Amino acid sequence: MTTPDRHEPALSVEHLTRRIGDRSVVDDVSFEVANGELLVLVGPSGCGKSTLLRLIAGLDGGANGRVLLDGVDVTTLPPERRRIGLVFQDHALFPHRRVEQNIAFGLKHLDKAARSRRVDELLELVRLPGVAKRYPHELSGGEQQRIALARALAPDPAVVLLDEPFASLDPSLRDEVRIDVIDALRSRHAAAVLVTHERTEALALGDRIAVMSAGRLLQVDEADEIYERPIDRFVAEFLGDVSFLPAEHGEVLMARPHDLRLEAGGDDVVTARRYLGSAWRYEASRVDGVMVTVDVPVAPAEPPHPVGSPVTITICATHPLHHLPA
Amino acid sequence: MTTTATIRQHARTFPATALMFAVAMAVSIPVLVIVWSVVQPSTEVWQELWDTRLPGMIRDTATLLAAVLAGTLLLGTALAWLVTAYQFPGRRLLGWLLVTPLAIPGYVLGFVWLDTLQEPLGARQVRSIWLAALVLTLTLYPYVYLFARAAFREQSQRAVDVARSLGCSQTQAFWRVVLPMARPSLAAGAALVGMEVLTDVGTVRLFNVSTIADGVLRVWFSTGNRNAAAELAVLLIGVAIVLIAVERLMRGRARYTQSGVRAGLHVRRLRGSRALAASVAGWSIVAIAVVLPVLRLITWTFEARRTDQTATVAGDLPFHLASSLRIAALATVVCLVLGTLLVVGLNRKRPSGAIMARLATLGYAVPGPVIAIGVLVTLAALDRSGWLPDGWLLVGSAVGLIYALVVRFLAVAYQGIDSSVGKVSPSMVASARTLGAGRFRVATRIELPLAGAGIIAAAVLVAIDTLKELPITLLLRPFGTETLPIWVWQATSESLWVQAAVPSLAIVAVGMALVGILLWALEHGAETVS
Repeated sequence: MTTPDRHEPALSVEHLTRRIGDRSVVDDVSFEVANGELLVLVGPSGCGKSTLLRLIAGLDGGANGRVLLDGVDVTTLPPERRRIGLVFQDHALFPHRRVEQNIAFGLKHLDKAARSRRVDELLELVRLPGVAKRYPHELSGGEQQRIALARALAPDPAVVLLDEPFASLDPSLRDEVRIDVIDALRSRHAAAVLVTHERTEALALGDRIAVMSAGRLLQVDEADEIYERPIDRFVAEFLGDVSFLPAEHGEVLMARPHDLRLEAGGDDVVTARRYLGSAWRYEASRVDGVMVTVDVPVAPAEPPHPVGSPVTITICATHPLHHLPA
Repeated sequence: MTTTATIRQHARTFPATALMFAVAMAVSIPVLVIVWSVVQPSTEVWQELWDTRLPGMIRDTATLLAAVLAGTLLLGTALAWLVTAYQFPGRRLLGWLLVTPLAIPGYVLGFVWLDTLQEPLGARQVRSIWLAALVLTLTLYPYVYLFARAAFREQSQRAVDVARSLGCSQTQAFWRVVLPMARPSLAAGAALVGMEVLTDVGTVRLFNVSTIADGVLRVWFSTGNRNAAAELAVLLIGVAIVLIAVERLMRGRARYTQSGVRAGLHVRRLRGSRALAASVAGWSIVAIAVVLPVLRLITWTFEARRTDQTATVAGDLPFHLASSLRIAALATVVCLVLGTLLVVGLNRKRPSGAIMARLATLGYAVPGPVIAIGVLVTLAALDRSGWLPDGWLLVGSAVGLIYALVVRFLAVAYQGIDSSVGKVSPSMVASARTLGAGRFRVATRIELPLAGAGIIAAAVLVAIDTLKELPITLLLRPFGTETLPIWVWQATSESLWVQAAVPSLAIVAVGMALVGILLWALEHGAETVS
């Protein structure tokens, strides 16, 4: 991962709030994205992620707070004067324009030769040379998404905003397109904000991850940091299976499935199990009534524990477990 | 498409195929006969026409066509954009009322405005091609309006958002993205308008514009020369084909349907003076195209009652109304039955099915006078052939009239039904079948209820068209059959506006009722016109 240079944020959002009626859809959100950095905005459906993107892009008005691009306040500018690239889940390519015309759409200020040079350069970047003359419907879903990115990058935007860009793609295709898109973003050294509701995607993609819920930004941090040291139980649960073990002073200890060990025989009981390929994931009920989730690496010689069988759960983590308010 | 394909599997037996073939042939022969007449042109007729009226006819037809197309595209698109993209008081009601000019034939609006403008403009100046174009624009723009409105409603805000992030202002995004994506719909609406203009004989006669359609009628009534009329009619087909071909060529490989979420365009609320301006713009069109003319017709009708002009030699209002309704109802039912049959019976994935569908809907692209002459020639040939029982004559019979109306309007019914049935998703049909529903039950319980609104809309459109129809009825009506449009035609050709008001008001009243049903159907999920 590239280390983002921190001295000049490409995008900074300051106390952005958008109210509809007496409900805050986006509630006092502040964050920064550095040049060349990819921030992944993740949260459950309806938490305000897409609204936040639309506010940054200037597509919706009526918000309080400020949006700065490269240090310049653009809060009152219309979208066409903000220098922001947009990529949607349904890619929103213009169906009546050829691929090259789609990419050149935002390049009106360039002369013809410069425009076509730029189109070629971007097609090269998204690794799709030779489709310039095609129409969007003549491309596959993954190709369409890459063209949508090329179109967004063409005018050299200060920030690229991607709203669930991979959600409409076939799972088999998703990884490949994802890698290509991230590579393209990195090689342009473009700042980007990517919205997703999938936690695995969020963990795999971002330099930093921002978790959002009910309009509020709960935590912004690096992937491993936010996974291992979440700020509260919601963030902990949102990013993956987790168990909360009772501790003192009204706190709980957070244990990820690999932090625990499960052995045959004892007072705890297996309540469910799921095969992950590399491991079995067990749900077990401890003798004190606490439900836990435990991963046991697959060992072909040993048969898995059946549901209902007695087991013992112990902590095997080599690091001290993270404390959370209960 | 796939749904209809499953129906087709069951219909694709030999008798069904033979029936389809018979329908397609019967409907296309009158058109093909006209085209055939070019192969053996009667040069002396052409020579005479060319030396006398033909250049003028071509010029007038082209001018009128261009003016009305430009006018309806501008007016229809602008009004559709107004009621889909903006919110202002009365928008919903206005959205409906803007469709109502569909109920007022050009020859009715024409004579009302002719009389009104006669004073200020002078008797000679008022009969101009530009006023004719204006009148036709005001009665025909609803075709473009309906298509454009549906297209705008289907568009997604995402495309506009992307365009704006790439440097377009709201206005630029409309011109560079929204409008181009609506183009096929606009073209479809404009094609209908073009066909109506080429068909029109009533309005142009009022304004002394001699178009090709008018020429066909004149040649037929003055010389009775069937071949001459047929050859003139070919010119009309030529113009129609050029129109359609130009649009197709310009479109190329591009597609216009958007993928993904149909979020719909954002509606912007207008306030204060802007809201007022929007309302005034919309309502003034309704006023000059509908309200004022109808009020004028009503005052005339009272005058007609007072001066005892509410009847013709042939009969009074109930007599004309009954025969108009009878003809419209009969033609509509035949169109619906044949249309459903073709939708269910043809497999357009096979070349033969595609060709038959094309043949059966040829009438859509053929102006009315051409069809009338084509049917005349066909029926006359049948009468001469000696295949019919003794004493039967098809020329001048009610059968001939209905036949021609079906040829002309079957396409409207077919396309309406086809698009509605096509909307029923294949997985829905598959679910019903696996739940144990038979072919018949799926059709009656799933497909027809879902397509119902669309089928009603198609039927209403055919009914409105046949109710207003003039050239075909003029040329083919059986002796003694008088419809409302014929009454208007006869009264207006002698400038008897007061007398023409009674049947005109009847046409408008029935038309309004039908437009009401159409609006209901459109609100309940019917696809737009054809």
